[in-house]
Amino acid sequence: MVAVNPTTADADAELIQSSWDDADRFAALYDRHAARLYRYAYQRVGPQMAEDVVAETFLAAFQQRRSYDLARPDARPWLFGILTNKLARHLRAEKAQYRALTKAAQAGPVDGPADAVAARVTAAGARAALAAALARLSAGDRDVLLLVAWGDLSYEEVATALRIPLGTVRSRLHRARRKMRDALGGTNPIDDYLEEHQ
Amino acid sequence: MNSDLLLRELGERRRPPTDEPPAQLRHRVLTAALTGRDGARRRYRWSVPRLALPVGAFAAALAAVVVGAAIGYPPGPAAPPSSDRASTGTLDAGQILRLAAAQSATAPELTARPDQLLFVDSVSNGHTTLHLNRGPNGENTFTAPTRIRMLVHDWRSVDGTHWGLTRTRLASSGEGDWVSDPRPGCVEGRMVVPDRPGQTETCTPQPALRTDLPTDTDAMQAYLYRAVDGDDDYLDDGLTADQIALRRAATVLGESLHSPAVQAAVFHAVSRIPGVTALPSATDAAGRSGVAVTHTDHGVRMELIFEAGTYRYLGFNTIAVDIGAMERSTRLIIRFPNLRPGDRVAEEAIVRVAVVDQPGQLP
Repeated sequence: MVAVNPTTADADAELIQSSWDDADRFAALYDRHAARLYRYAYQRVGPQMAEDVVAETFLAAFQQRRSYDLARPDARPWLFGILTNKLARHLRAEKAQYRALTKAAQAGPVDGPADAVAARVTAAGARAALAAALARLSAGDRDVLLLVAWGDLSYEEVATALRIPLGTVRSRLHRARRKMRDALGGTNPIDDYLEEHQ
Repeated sequence: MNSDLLLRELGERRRPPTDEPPAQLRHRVLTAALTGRDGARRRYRWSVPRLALPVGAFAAALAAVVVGAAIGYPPGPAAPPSSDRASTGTLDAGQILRLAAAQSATAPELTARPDQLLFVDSVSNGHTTLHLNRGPNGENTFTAPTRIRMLVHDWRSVDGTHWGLTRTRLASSGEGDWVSDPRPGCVEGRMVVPDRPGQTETCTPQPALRTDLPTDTDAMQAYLYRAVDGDDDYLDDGLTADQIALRRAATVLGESLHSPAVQAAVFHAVSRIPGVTALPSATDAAGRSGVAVTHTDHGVRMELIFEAGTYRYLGFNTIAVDIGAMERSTRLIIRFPNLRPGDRVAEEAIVRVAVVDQPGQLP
């Protein structure tokens, strides 16, 4: 998982505190985190809505900045938590994207040498199955799975972001990953064993 | 194939083209933070009026469709000009509205138990208005004029405290493509957040059978011409008071489907709006033809459609007449590069209404 740079982390809480009286300081917080939040939102709801969701997130963060826990140096989990709440309003859009992916991956003729075609069809089929499975996950499971896989948050950061116990993060992740594996055609007993004994 | 790896690969494929967020987003965020208003989130004023759908439901449904697939839909035919026709040769606007009020008076008031649901089957049709974009000279351009037609099945809690449901699908899709969106009831000031176990938020019950709407003409007229309220001001930017009143009339008609007395009051009040004229032939979002009472201003024609012969209310249309006038009428600097005169900007038609016991139950 991504290590937190202590210098940067210290600066996050300080930035937020200094933005209480000097709103312009908030711009530095935006500059530090916008790219990752935007990328994650883009991955989940696509380009049009990603802008809206990120704008809503920073606006909410700005409004809530006085209640930020200054003991937490790194603001990233806090921002991803707000972003996750904003994304929840676009659940249908997100699911529609996954369904579109499912269809896109299944559509279209494939040309080429037989073995290469087989590999591409298999990969496309796997992506379609995965996208379909993502759409079927419960919101809570999907949030945890994607915050880890696409948001690059550690388990602890996910727990902070979603305000859930670490054990819940693990159990949701376990369930979500099992469903992903099932969607790809059967479970791998070794994976299951490793998962349960992590 | 390893599912974790595949998921990361899917994430890589879904990354934005560059690592930097769009430049205008920074400006938008910081402007919004400092002013407390997010300008780009304004719902455009000619978007489909909120026909008593729970706030956001329809917008979300539209957005879902646009993101999922760009669906083209041919623009509707340009209806004949109405501004120079005070009457249709048969009935004028006042007569149509009086007949509509009389028709309402003969209809029974719908009654229901608090735990039941009002089922509303409707069709929405229009250009989506997702974004105001920035043109080369800094002007806002109205884009994503995707034209879509949505079928909406709405189960609304009679007292606002029970679970309801909204189902939507594209008219061009199949029966298997309904998208369900549960609507939590508001119990003791809290409602659960759908699909987010354990979370609740504050709320006020929104009863489907509203009892607070005026039933006499003067009170309804005052209600339609009330001062702009905070939630609506962005919708009404640049509209005349008469246009706002007509738009509100359509909203009230959608919120009072159970109450013939309220509907009649609306029709009488609309007949007092200066400049309303009759149109002998109009088509609603569901494709039904009828007669209309229309009002044209700022390049936009609004139409209340009634079934010919029975004068039952069918729906509301907003049609572009003069694109330049539309562009000039708003305080925002807006261009509509893809809009043509005669384009149906937004339409909504009521197909049927009934009281049922369960969400999802069809009458």
